[in-house]
Amino acid sequence: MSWAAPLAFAWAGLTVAVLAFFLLRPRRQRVVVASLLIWRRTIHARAEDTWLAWLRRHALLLLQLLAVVVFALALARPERLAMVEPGSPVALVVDVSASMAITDRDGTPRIQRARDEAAALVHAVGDDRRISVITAGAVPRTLVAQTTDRAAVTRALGGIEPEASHGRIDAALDMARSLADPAAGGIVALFTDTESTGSSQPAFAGVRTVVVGEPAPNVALVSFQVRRRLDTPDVVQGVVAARNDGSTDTTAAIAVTAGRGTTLSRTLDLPAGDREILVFDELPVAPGYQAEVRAPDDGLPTDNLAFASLAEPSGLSVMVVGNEPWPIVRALQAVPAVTAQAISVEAFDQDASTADLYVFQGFAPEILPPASSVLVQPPAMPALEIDAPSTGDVRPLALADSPLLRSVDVGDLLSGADVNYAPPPWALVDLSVGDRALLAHGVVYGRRIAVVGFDMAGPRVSQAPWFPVFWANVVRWADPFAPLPEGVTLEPGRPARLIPHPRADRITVSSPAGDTTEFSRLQPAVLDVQTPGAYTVRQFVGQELVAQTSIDFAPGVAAPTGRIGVPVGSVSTPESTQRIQQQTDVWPWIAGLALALLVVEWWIFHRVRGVR
Amino acid sequence: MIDRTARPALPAFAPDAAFRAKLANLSLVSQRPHGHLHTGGRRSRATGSSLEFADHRSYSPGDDYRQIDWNIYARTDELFVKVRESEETLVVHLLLDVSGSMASGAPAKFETARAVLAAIGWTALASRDVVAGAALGVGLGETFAPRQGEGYLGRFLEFLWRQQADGTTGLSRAVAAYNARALPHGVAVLVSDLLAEDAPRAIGALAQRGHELTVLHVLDDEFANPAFADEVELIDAEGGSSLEVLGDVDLLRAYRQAIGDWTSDLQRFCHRRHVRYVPIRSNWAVEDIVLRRLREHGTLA
Repeated sequence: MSWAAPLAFAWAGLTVAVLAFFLLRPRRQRVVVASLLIWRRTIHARAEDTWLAWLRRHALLLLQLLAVVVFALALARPERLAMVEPGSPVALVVDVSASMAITDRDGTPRIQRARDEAAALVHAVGDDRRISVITAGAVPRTLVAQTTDRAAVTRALGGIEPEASHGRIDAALDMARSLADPAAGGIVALFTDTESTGSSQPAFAGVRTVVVGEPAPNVALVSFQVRRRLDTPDVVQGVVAARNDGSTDTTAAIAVTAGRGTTLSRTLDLPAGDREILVFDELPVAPGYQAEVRAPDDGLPTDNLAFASLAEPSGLSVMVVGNEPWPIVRALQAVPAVTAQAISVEAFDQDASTADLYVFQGFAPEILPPASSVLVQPPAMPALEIDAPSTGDVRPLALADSPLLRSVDVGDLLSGADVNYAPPPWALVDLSVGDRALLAHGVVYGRRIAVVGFDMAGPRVSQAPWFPVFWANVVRWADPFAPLPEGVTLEPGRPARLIPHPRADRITVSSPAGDTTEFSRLQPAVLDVQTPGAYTVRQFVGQELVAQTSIDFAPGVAAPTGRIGVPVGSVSTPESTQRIQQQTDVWPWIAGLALALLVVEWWIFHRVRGVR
Repeated sequence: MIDRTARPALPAFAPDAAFRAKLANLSLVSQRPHGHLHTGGRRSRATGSSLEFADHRSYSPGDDYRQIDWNIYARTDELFVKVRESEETLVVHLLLDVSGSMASGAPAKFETARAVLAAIGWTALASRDVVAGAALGVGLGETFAPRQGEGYLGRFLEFLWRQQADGTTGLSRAVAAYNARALPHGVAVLVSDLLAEDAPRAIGALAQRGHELTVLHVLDDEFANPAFADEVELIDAEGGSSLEVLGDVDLLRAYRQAIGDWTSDLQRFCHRRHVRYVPIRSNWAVEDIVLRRLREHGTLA
């Protein structure tokens, strides 16, 4: 037995009030009788057992005290663990992509319809089912997991709101499947407005899809990029990709604005479900560009805007310090806008160097320079919690979505000269061998540091086709002027940590609405996306602006569609026979007992004691 | 409930003509001689000097010459003396319980008790019986000296109406003191609620003294059938002691059962000692008690 609200035991203090009322009650009636002779005989004969007589005299008081105590017990919400046979689990996946904010012609928002349909399913299944609620937004979230508490499920469903982003339905369904595997008798129900979520796709196998929303026109910008023309660098070329996610053909107007000045417009026929690309050739050079698509009766205007800026070469300077630097230098020189130079360990003068990225090959300086660093087979560095290198021939395991291993075949990495390290606590392991790291990256002391254990000088690695790709990945991630490192996902409502340049002492973030937030060197800088649009991050050293970065947050798209799916009332699945421990409320029984005590007290008062 | 402020008004006993006529035709029943051969109002088994002729017998030396029947001597020349019946004087002891408990009831038990005693005293005095009275309280109270003849009726009533129901009960002590007065035994009538632990002992003492005893056990309805709810504090009218009781149905039922057991015990006790036990209620009419109940129980005839 446990208590959900033990503080409610304080209500038992009301017994003091009951006792006080008893003691302060009006004095009892005094009756003068001829003699107590017979009364004493009666009492004596009747009260052979004194405690029984006492009980009879104070029956009402005792019942009142007992009722108060039992009520206090009930208010403390006792629970007991019981082995029950639960019903098969149910996972409700609610699409919270931006399109779910659309209000259909009947005035009902799609998200409300999805909530209602989910609630109907909750009512349709048995009370013993364990229910999970998952939102499919940019990041799938589990609101409640395998609970039989219907109130908690209802609260979770009622709190679901659409996000200004795309919905990662596949990931959400994976999560739901782990909680209620349809193959094991579970139910996974998806509530979405996206028609493309057909059961033919593997991710939707066994998923009961309830499509909400009505057909509505919707055009969206899929991508927007700008670049200088190769032949005339003073002219900028803009590439806009638009798509018709609606169920009817439409004509869309696409406008691209350069900075605050020139606007170019085009009209585009977009059949239903089709995707078109437009190229705007005559854009002037500007700090930023905005593309917008318009269509009649567009149901979701939030996906009609996109922002872009010219990806100017940052002019990153890289210094490779080592005894065999040339394979690395050659690879770096293939990376656009990177200037790489090599220097021997003996010639390396830390104070005289001003590179943006250092590659230390088999060598580590006493003090890390204020720049990003790649440590290739470094010796033990206690300051960075890097232990002595060791060797091993275990097949490496790569981290999925590693920003350093993008398009790299890790099968080619192994060589006899590879070393590995205990993973530093600040680093994310990209490539591991057993419990040790062959490649890791992270941020420590304000610097982006990568630790590379495999032999960069060996011909097997340096001549591999992916070798320049690897270094391009390294440069992209280690660029100290990019405040948002590669691999960091930007999500609405979830602040992302910005990594300032090691020399920057001030950083500002300007939102699309024009608000600017300033962070000092001592403060962790964050980018909190609340509204779609372009965010500008500026980094300063003193008063000097050393870097300005435009981060385009473009909302994802989702398609309004017609209603298909299965009626929720017809759900039936085999029951699970596994018994689980479950908390069962006991307080309703105890509250009932308290009421019964009060009824008995009332009955005794009016029927037994009274001689009317 | 006791109303101590109520005081009887004198004369409180004023029977109407019809009741008086009926009383005049009644007399106290005495089933055995009590040996008081004074001139009285009732015949005795012994012969005596009354005017009532009983028989003749032959003269024997020493007989009273005045009793010789000279007419028979003239006819037969033999001396016969007249034998006359002796008339016995019956002493009637009328005992009134004057303890505080007698003041309870509606009407008060005390009022009914002395009205009944007044009627019995009237009957006794009218029958030329000797009437003696006593008030029995915590001890022996005021007494009414033995008197004979209707002329003492007024004094007897005054004696009764001077009494007040007050104080505690000491029934056996009072009876013992009364017995010690060495009055002739006779017919005794005790009117009491007997609400004392020593009531049986007092009854036994009176019976043992040789009286033909009638106990008029007077109770009131409120005492016999109490009706109250909730907790009450019962106050003893005599001693002031109290008792807290919860007036539930079970207790009241048990109380009535105890009352029944108590009166049954008293009745059996009296029966074993040849004492007439007459239960009465304070709200019964005095005429009914005297003319019917007492006659049914053989106290009056």
